[in-house]
Amino acid sequence: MPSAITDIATAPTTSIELTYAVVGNPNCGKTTLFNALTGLRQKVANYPGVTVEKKTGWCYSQHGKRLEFIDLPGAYSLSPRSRDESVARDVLLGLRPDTLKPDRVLCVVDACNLERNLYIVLQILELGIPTVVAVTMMDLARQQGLIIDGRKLESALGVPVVCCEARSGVGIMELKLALSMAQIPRPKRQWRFAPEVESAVAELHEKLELEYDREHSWAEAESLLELTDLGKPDMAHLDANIPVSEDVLARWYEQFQRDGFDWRRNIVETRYAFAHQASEVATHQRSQTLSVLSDKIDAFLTQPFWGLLMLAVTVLLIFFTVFSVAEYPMNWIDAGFGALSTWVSSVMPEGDLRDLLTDGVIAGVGGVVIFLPQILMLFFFIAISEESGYLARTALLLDRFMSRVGLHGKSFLPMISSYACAIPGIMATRTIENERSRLATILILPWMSCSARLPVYSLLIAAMLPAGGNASWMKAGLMMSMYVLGTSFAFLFAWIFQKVFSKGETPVLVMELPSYRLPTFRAVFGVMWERTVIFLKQAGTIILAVSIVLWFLANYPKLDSENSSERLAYSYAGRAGKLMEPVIRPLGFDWKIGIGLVTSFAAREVFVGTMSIIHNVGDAGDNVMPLRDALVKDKWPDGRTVFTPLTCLSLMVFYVFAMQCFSTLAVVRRETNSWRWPVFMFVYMLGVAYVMSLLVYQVGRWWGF
Amino acid sequence: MQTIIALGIVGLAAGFLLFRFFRKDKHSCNCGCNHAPKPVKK
Repeated sequence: MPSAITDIATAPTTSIELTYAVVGNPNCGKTTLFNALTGLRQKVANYPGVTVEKKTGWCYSQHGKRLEFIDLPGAYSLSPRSRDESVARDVLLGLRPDTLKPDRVLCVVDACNLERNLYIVLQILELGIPTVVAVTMMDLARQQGLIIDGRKLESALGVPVVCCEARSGVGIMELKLALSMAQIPRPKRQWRFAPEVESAVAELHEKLELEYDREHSWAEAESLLELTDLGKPDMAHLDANIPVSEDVLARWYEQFQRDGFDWRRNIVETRYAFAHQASEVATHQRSQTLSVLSDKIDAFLTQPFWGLLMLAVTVLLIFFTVFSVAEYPMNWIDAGFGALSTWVSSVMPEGDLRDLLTDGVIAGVGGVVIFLPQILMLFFFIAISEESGYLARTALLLDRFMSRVGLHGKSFLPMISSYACAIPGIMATRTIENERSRLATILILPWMSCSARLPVYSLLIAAMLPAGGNASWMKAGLMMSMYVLGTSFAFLFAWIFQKVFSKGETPVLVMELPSYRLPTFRAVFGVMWERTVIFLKQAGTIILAVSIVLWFLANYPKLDSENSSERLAYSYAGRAGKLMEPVIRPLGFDWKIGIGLVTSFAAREVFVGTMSIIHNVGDAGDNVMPLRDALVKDKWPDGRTVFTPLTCLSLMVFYVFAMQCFSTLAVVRRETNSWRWPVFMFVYMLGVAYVMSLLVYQVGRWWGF
Repeated sequence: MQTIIALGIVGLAAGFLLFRFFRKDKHSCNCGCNHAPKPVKK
């Protein structure tokens, strides 16, 4: 490896202080080392204008000189992704008027994650500032069977490297000696980028040096920083202090775009390649068998093929458990509410209040509570995967696929949750830090077919396909195609929303993978309890109120008739159905279906109950066949069948896309803190539902179905 | 009598929905914590 030492930075003569900026990744042991060096000689304040902590301290050098230390916020790179990283970068570049320009840098790297930690070290070396590298957590590295050779790392990087253990104080004296050195080599970049990048850097470098009077070595580093952030959205507020050569940057940006050259990737990969090389040279793995269990599991779980296979099996198991095991408690709850309804009917005299209690209150609350086992099971699995550390791996694994449509890796679990119910799915989006990604995820989640759609699909598929032959396979295929349809459109619209909201690329997923650990009972059940209370309190109250109001609309004004269908037609809901019939007729729906569409806002499965009331066949919850027969026999005034296979398909497609869940809208309102997004969601989903349903019905008719 | 009570309940439910719909949420942050600010004691 060529020598990195080009010239020598000589420390100022005695009595003049030296200022060190302490830099490193988050959680690399930087603050522990800072404390070990400075002891109680510290001062904590805030950087003016931002809520970023500014910590300074000092100690005496071996020659009695005062060494000042500025503990900078943890950063993964000098290309800022947050205010913290922006402050770290500005202090290093001497761009903050409120902070002393550091004479030297103390780079702290974690011995257990040497390669990743070296990335920011390389960026600092690009700056050409005299640097000392402290490799911390040597004790932990030894436990993992890693032996770091400081001398080899020193020769690879071209700057002094000291290995130490800040907690026990081992190596602190050696570090102080290195920090006290009168002469520290000034590093020079040893890694070469692609020729296109080098040409751009050279041009920017020259311009910065001439026009903005930047120091020679810094101008090159700043050029690289500008190039790295080129074309990234939301960089303006982080890059406010960097002199920008707009015209040169714009020209290179255009050229890179035209050539299809991923300059940013080249810059990052080149640095990582060098970091890998340096890390390989300096690290000796004592024994493969000593590698920690977490790494062994990760080697399997984060591997693209096996990781995905394992994920698919896990998701399948979660689905199976949610749909099958939760069925038992759901049936018990259903039976409980049924018994309560029967009891109320038996003890109360006939009348409106009794009807309201049985058909409105009990049916309404029961309709929500029945989903509680599914919600609890989902959050049980979410909590276990989060607590055990598996959630972080799935997010990482899925990020490469989701990012193609602009979705964040962490959108995966909310999407899975939404197959049971969109409400916990929307609540689970809180793990997505990026607000735009979170919003885009929320806006597509209701298209994951929820369990409330199952009764509707089941009824309509039963009406479409007669029993016998290969009907079961066809029914299963049809059911699955509804799930696939919703999911595909969710991905498509996620891509559109990301284009509209972000106007740039998907944010890169940067996360620390925690070690695997056994989930604690307290944590898992704490999450389940919290979700139970939130779900029942928020969704339950709204559904209850909507059910009561819907009961009124379906029963008033009263008509003195024995025929419930006639009574319904006379009611407000019936009139509304008749009123909306001209709008929904092109989709193949009559006014009775229209009522079902309206009542579905309480909960989608209410459609089944509404159909059974309208068609005068009693409750079809447990027995779909009689209702199916009634639907098949239903006719338009001109004698045509209403529920043709085409109408059923059109109706199912409508249910896949339409936002017919007031509870979901209420939760979206709560999570986005505005009615704007739920209203937008309702409108665009209803629009897509109408257009898709219209297409299915009209194209189907054109083809002669 | 049953009808009057039932209609009263319907009115309450409708009122509750309207209140939920139109109430001004003072919670301004968008973190999803849903913590309403505590009333200031005079």
